[in-house]
Amino acid sequence: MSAVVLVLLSMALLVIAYSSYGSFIARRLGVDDARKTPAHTMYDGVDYVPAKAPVLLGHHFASIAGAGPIVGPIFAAIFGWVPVYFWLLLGGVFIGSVHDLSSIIASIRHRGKSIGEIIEDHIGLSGKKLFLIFSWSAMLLVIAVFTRIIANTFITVPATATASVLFIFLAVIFGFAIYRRNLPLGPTSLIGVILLFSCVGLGMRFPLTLPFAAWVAILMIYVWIASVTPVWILLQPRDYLNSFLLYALVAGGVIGVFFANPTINLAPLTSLKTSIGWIFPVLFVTVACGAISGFHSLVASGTTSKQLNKESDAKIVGFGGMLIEVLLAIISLMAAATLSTERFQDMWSKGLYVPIFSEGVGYFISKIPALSISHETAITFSALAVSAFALTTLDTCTRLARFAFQEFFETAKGREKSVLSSNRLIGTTVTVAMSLTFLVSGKSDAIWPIFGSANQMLAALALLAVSVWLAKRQRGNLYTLLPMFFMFAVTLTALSTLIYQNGVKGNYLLSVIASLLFVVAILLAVMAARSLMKTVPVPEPAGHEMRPVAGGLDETT
Amino acid sequence: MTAKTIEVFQMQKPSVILIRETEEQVASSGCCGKFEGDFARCAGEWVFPERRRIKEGMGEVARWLQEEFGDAIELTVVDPRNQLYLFYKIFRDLWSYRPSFGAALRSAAMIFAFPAVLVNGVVKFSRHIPRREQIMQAVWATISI
Repeated sequence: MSAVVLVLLSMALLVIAYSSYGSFIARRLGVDDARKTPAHTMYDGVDYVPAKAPVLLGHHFASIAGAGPIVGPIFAAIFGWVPVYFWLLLGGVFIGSVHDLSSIIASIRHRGKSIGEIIEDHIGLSGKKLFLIFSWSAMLLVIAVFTRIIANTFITVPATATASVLFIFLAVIFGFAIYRRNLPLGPTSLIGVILLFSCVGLGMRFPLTLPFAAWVAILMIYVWIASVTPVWILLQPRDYLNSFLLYALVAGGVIGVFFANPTINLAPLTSLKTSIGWIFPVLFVTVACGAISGFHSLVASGTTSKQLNKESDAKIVGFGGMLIEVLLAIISLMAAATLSTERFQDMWSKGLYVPIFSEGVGYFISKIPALSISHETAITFSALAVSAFALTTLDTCTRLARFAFQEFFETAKGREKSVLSSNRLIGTTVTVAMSLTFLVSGKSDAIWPIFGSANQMLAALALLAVSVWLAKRQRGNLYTLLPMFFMFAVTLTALSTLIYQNGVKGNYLLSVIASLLFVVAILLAVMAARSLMKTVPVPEPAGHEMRPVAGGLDETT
Repeated sequence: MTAKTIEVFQMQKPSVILIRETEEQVASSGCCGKFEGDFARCAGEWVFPERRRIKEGMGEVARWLQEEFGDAIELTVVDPRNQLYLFYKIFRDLWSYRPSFGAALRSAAMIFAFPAVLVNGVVKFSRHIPRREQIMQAVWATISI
């Protein structure tokens, strides 16, 4: 079967879904352009600024896209390409897009507050502490799994190792030029991008070869340093350069697949049970970001909702943004599915998920006539791009985990400081040490599903918050309620299975972290549901203005 | 001259672009490791304090312009990392307002550092946040022409 046919079919289905189901959900959520958004009612020119839909869509998509939607589908492709393809399409349309759109609408009806703030306001300090434990544990897993993935990529494509190291130094120099020397944006960006692509050439000329343990050690030292240094030194400038890589990779992958016109070689369905477990629930937790991701609710309700110009824009930004991510995940799946079954299984068993992607997408990109680049160059470029995303995920997660650690030890009143809450070196060291322990206690195929479960649990919690809000408003909520029950069923089944499996295999640490996530998630869900349901139902107001009320959470006429 | 008068006499609204970075991470770390929204301020501190200060300063400029001109001007606030839109917007303004060749070249080649303010496609302020009288003068001067 031709991959182009599948990509075209996906595009057609996604467009139909957008215009039919997207419009249906928008209507059910009561989207109304006569109702002013917080960007207007709370305009301050700083956080609340109305932005045009294309601007906001570009921002929202860049915020949600990364290594997650690329790695997840490849990981799950061990079941065959058909179940992954259908889960991406069905999950993306009926759960992921609904989750993202309803998160934006719920947030704008709560004066731009984030889902996290809404839950926190209702369930108080104990809930917040639980949420911090949950976040910290999830991030430790992210750090462990991405360190493994990057180390494996560097070993398999040594040119990428050199390119990635050079890219880090380039970002530091770029940051110094832009943020400290105040050099002009255009010429500096042009030189930065040229040098960025030169890193690929240099990497191929001088490949860096080191053993797995050495790469793990280097990466751990790197994340430790990167997460305690000021953001302008590395994080800020690399963020700027990464945006070029993201645009180039997405454009190259989508355009390239049409020129390459590859054939699907992977089996449609290998087995309902593989080395990573039964298709239910494993498929639904391993393919997270490409179909549904709980972290999207934090992005959607964090920044996006404060900049929404009019309510109807939420459909293109929330629903549409998620569908574009589904397409990115499908391209990633196609990259894997066009390899031969033997090649795919061999690379998959070694945990080479990024090399699988870069080999497939590199082939697509190398077939674009206008670029005239070799397959090897395209592979190195693709691997560099995904490694750059994964490295960014790695050090931002370490910093975020350190923040969560410090915040956990702060007391509520007056934010009193203790050594654990004020010393960033302690928080970082504990985070890195714990991640390293997880990393050595299990392979990627053992860690990724636990991370996926944590991510999907967050989605279930966000859907719970939205469902209760809709019920309070006496609005139908079946379209959020059913996905919520499904996601709870998936994650709780997955976590209990993972607790058992890891226990049996002797991966006690992974078993313990899965148990912790299970308990914390149950507690959070019960606390959130109880406190949110306490409120007496209030019919949907017909007016267009919102005013602050006690708790600052409601709208009125 | 009031904002109302401008609306009557100007066929095309003056375009003001405020370029400043937001205090968040934008690209590529994916949704699960990101400094924005809930995570833009962790442990009680801004992750990007310097950017936050600039953003607040430019927010003040946006409010001044809003108070003075309301809907009589087209005000766009954009992050320089949103390159696709920024390029499109600058080129559209240059096409619409046809400034001098030198000024157009400076804008098109983006020979400015942020924060920056562009009025009708021309760079008016770069590397600093303008004071109220400076920005008002720059916008009124454009309208008078």
